[in-house]
Amino acid sequence: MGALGQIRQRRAVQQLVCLVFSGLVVLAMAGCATQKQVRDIVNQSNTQLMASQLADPEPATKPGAASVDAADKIEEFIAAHPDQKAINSSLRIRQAILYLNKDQYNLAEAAFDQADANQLFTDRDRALKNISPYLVWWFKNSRTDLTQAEAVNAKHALDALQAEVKMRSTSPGIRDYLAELRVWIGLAYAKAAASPQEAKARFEDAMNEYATVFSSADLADLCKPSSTDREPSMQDVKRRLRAEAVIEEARARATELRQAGTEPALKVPQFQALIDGSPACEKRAAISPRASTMRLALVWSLAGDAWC
Amino acid sequence: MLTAEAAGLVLSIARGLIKLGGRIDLLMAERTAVQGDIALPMPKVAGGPALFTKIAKLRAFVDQSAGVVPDPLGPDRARLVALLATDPPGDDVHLFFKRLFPLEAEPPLIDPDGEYVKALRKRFPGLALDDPDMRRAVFYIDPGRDARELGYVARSALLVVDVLAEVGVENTGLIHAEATRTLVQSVLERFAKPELEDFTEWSPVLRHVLGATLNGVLDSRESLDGAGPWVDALLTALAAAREDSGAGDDYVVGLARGRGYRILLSNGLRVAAGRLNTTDAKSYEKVLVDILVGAAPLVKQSIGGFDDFFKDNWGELVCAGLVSLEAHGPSLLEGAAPLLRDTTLSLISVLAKTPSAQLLQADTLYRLGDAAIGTIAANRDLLKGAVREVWLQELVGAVAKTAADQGIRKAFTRDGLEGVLRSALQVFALHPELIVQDPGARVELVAAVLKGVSRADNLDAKTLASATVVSLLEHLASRPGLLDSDYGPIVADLAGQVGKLVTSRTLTGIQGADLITAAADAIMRNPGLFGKVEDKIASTVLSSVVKGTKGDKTGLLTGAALVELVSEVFLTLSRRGRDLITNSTQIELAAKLTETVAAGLARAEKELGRRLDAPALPAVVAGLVAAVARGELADIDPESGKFKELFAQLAETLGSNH
Repeated sequence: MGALGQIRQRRAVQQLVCLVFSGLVVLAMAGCATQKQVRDIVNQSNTQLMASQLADPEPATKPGAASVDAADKIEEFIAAHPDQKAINSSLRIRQAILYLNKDQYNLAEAAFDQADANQLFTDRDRALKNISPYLVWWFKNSRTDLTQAEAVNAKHALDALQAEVKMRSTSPGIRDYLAELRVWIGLAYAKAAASPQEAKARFEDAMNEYATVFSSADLADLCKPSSTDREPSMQDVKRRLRAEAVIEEARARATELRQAGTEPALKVPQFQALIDGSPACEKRAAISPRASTMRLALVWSLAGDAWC
Repeated sequence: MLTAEAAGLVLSIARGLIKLGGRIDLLMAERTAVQGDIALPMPKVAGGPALFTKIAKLRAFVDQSAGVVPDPLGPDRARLVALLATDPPGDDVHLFFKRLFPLEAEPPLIDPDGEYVKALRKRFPGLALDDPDMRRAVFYIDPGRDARELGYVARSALLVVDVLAEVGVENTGLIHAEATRTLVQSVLERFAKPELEDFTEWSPVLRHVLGATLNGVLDSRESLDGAGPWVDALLTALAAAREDSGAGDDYVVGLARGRGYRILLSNGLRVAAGRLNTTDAKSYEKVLVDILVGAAPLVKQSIGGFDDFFKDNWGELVCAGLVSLEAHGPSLLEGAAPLLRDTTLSLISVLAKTPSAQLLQADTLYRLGDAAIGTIAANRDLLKGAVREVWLQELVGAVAKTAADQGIRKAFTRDGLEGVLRSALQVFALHPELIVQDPGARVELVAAVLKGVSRADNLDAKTLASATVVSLLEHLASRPGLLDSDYGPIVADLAGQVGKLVTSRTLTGIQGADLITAAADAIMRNPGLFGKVEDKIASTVLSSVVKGTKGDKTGLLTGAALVELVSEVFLTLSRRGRDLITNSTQIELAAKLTETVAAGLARAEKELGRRLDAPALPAVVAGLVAAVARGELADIDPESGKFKELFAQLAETLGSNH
């Protein structure tokens, strides 16, 4: 081969390599397509779920954009990617929560059923799958007084949740959610008792089990905010603030029990003081926002998205 | 020119990179799905007073309003008093409380998430909750611990190694993956065609749920030969319910996931295919659409968990309709207001309003539906105005009350109790005339039997109660005049006494059932003779005869022989006991019967093996009772000449018949 031939070959190789790598650039740009799709689903589902928690209208879609529900998007994704078992199972759990939030209990049940337990890997998803029958049941029945038949279901739910809370001790996010779910069911179960004595026993069980997820710092903070730790984690803050509504309701139930001649006795003195409304726990000082804590939590949550 | 090897290498690297890019994308997508946060909502919770407070307030109200004219409770006072007397009082407490204390009964719901937001805003006044990212930080639930040993970073690294290895080697893994995809694709296509082609516009989750059960139907197509039009009717009705009910996919998924759907496929369609005319399927389809669409609002309200109940039992109610269709013909589907449609909808409405009816098992509901539709079909007067609803309320209320009665439930297993109820409902379906008037009273008769025999243990109680109920109701059906007499209560009372004998092991459950059947038959022959239930004549007869056998040293009058003796005595008294019963006080009657039986036994001890054998003994003793009843034997002394002579005569005559 002569020099001209060598130059031509080199150019041909260069052209081919350029062509291949140009194609790769295009592919790389499109390479995150599936992840983007899933991320959109995750973001939209959370937006929908939080909209109802904050009683806000959902953000309006951009002009011209189709308004597709996140649950429907999950269906479309799964139909297009039937072999992505782990993704699909996790998305099914998310879809079930979306359905629950929309009071579509049958669809929620079906979505939970279609989440393959062997393809769920995180404590949160596994716990939600394990308690799914009770979760669906409670979403369906929480807004009315429990009937006798439902009280039986409540007892089963309490037992299942108690076991699940213990199993998830290393994942405080889902553990706290389950513990709070249990205490609300427990308080409703206590309310469904026909006698004050039975109600007292149920009430004490609900509150005593709930108290097990609170650290000594939590308990001190519940009685007197900012009394001990200065930089609690976001999860600690959340646990303590969410407990306020529970304590409020527990106080009302305890008052009702006292009026019926029974005195509830809780194992944890701080909780007893809280439901008694004793002076040590009455004053809740207003404090300045812990901006650093909130910022830290925010940065941590956003870090999860920095990919691709 | 580029050599083939060089070109191959470049393409191989490019292919590997593309593959890597695709797989990294999927891995990262999985990470996003699995480790993405979820804003888990906490449902709102009912506030308001506890059940024990409601009970206390209702009791106080009942006491304070006693004697007030007009009574603020009206005709419901007795019901409320009875409700509060039960332990624990039933779910109707909530209904009464809501009626009498409406302001306290429905306080605002507690909103845990809303309260959390308030607490957040109070504690962190400067927090920008309007910012979407801040919202997520505050609300999210992280995925927690991942059970897998390898995290996503390690898995990404392994992926690179894996792809690099694939570059130089033809890997069959990809082919396998394609095969898997093909398989998955074919499964997905299965849901869209050919049998479900009408449902292609449905969501995959709904197609999956329907497809799973419909495949079962298609697999057993041979045994459902002829069900085609009925399958079409069902599917079309479901499709219409989805569109017309306003509840959409959720409603139909609920219907298809409930036990009722499978029952309808396995039993209902088989009944339809085997026994009904296919030309009726189209009319039936319209009725079924109306039923499903009509029931949707009740299901959505879900009072006391009615949606779950309906999901599990709608198939039974529809099956009952199909059976009625067979019994009463296509006229049930005709007209502007088809009877089958309106009756089923009324029944569903009544079931939704009767919380304790939800305790009933599916089979019992099926029988209840069958009896209700059959009775209304046979008695069109029940269709007028609000009569049907009132009638159904009375029937359903009485059945549910019996099933929920704590006293009865303690004595029976759930299956046992409902087995007896089903037996009764089956008789009602065969003899609708029994319940066309006063259905509540007929069911209460069944409850009285159940209460009566509840002293026997679980297994025997069921045997005894079933025999008594069926025997009693069939006698009432064969002699409608008895409906106005005390025949029913008398038999129910007698069943209670037999229950005691079974409990004391004097009789087995089966012997008790035989005895009550024979006694019910004998009493029916002359019901007037046994007077009112409070006269206790029948129970006196039974207890006296049993008492008379207590001194039986031969042991011959036990078990089946005792049953035969009691049956013979009842029969004898029905035929010849008028003078004896009308001219004796209860104590005198008891004494005479006990004395006669005891004397007969004493005589039998001496005559056995001479002119008497064991099988003839019950008939001979009953013969002595007959003689006493006729006044032919005044001196009941086993050693008196007259007694010996009569005994010998009976033994010779009746002994030869055995």
